[in-house]
Amino acid sequence: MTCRIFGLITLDVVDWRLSVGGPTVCGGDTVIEEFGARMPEQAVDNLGRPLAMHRYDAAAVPATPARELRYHHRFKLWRSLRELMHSGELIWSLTMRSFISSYKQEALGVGWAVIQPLLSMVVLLFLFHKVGKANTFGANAALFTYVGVLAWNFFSNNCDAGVGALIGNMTLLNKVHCPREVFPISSVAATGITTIIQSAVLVILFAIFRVMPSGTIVWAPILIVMMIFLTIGVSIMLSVLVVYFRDLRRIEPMVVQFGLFVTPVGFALNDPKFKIPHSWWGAISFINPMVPIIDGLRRCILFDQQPRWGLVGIGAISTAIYFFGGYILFKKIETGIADVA
Amino acid sequence: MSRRPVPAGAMRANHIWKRFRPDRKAKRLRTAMHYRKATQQGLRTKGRQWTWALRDIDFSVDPGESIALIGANGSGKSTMLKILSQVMYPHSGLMEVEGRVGALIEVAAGIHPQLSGRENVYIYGSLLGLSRKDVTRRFDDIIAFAGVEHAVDRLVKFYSSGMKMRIGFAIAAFLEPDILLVDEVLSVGDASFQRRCLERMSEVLAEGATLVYVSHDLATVEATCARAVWLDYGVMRADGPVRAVLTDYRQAIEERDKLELRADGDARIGEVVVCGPDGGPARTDEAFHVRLHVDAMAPMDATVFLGVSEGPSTPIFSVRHEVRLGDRRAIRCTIPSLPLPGGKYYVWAGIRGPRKDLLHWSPVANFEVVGPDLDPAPNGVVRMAPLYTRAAWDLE
Repeated sequence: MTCRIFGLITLDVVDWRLSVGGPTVCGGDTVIEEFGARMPEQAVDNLGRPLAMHRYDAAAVPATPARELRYHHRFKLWRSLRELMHSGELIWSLTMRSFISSYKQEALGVGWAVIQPLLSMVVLLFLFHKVGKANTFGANAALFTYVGVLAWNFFSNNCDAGVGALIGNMTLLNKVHCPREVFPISSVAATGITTIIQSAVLVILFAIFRVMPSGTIVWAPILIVMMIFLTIGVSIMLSVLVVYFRDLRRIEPMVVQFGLFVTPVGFALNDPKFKIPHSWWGAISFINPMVPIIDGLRRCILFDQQPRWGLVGIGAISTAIYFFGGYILFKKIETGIADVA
Repeated sequence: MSRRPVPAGAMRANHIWKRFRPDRKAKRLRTAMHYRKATQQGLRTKGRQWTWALRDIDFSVDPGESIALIGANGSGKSTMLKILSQVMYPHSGLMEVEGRVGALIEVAAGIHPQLSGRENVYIYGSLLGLSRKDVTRRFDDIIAFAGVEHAVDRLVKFYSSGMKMRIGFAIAAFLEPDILLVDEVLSVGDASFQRRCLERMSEVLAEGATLVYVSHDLATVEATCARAVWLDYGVMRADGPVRAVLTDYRQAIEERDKLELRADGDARIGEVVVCGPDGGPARTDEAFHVRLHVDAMAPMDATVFLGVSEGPSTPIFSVRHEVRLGDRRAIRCTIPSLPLPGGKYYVWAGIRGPRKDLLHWSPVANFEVVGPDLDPAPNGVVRMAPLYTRAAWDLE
């Protein structure tokens, strides 16, 4: 006897009865029910709920979206700052990644971090003090230049790194969601580590020239914090602008190189030889807050003087504009990064 | 748009629209000036051309569901996935995603070649949102999953490309996310790694996470997902049980890929007729006939190949026969018992000439088999080919 279940599966009941040798039709029924229970398969999702099929007509979709559907990315400054605070660990990981990988596999390794500013110091010493006969107002010329180079290098290296911070990680940014400002910020932090190593050289230079840093050095941290915020602001602004305007990659190094000579890195702001009018100082400090920062650092580390607070104040206002402006600009236009790249 | 609170693991795409401007050259100054000139001369009628990549995508996923996005190349799957993972923002509509999103994606970008495998695991883990403590806890699992135990402290640039890919994938696999996005990654690893990935996906699902899977491998889609959304040139065509959607999708592909009988070379295949017993439709487990006409320019010895495939891809099986071809020869092939479940199939035909060159090997006709559905495979197991076989079962 052959039994068809729902016309689909053919069960040879005769064979079955022979092999089992048990009761006749009743046993067969059991088997049939086993199959029957499973056959009319109702599609369910993972949670066991029935799943209905929906078909859509492609032609029914309008050509353009309704105006009220338009998506507006709402930017909330405090919320994004809070999100940034929570990514501390990520920033640290990325910082270590760029720091370790940048010196790994080089024969001199971290030694380059020390050699590079020393070489710039020698070049600037030659240019401004040997050839240009700049006035150091009694301070050791090497120390005088090195303080400037240290601060300027921090700023300029970060401008360079900021340009590459996003475009260098584009493939990653297009796949993984994280606060994107962690990339430029961690590159600032990596440069910061280098700068700390370079500061150790400053201590050694003090020892070599048998000079003690002056007591007003207690004011330096204020200037350093200001410099960090300025650098982060400029760096994140550059990093996002270069995504939309790639030419910036070529412009930025030229501007930074030019900046080395219009910022008092190798010379003093009040050097009579360079005749920078007093009335300009405020405006210069506003455009380039590195001017009062370097000038102030030098005054409080080498000259036992307080920073020029007026200029520092102007610089601080401008730093706040750079930082918040840069950050807001970044958050505003970062929404389109994935579309462009 | 309703704004109910969304539980972790849930996603809701509310009428998502996204457009792109393919002509990025418009951003360049030179081109901009060229455009301006063209506008002044009245040559240019419209501004920059936008094309819609996604139009009115609207669906919601509950926590614990497994959903597949299917569609041909360029249908907007990757764009949708980018919007889901909140890397990209929609033009219109609202994407609500609640909970931690983990992405199993092509991740070579996050792996730094100058660092060791160990360092990379930590850094990539924190990029994906794992804390250092979490990574330490799962470190051994991750390394074992990637199969790189012997090379943990080696620089990644000395890894093979498979190892690099696996290490990135392994970190993402141990994210314990609320939502897991998987984008066509399985194609990279070897067979055993693919199996581990599928197992891991099932585990994550069993833990109650939501799974979004994007793939062209329809067999794994069917094995892993209960639900599918079919995107077709940026619009949703269907949303429902995976089998029903896949059937619709396959049918659409068939209609689009016009079957052509090529008429070049020394021999050509003419009319192809497929039938079941007594000239009726083909039926599972019954006789199956293929009759094809072959025209040869000159008499020659050749081998005729016939095959059957499900989609327009590799055939499931093939048979061959050596014949002497001449002017308008009709060849008939009979398969006494057709081992195919109900569904739509293609017949492939090919002729290998005397110089051992293959003249044609392509789908030449399609046909439908009337018969039972194939019994579904257990979840997480990939069905290789739809082959029907009789089975007798007993209870003891």
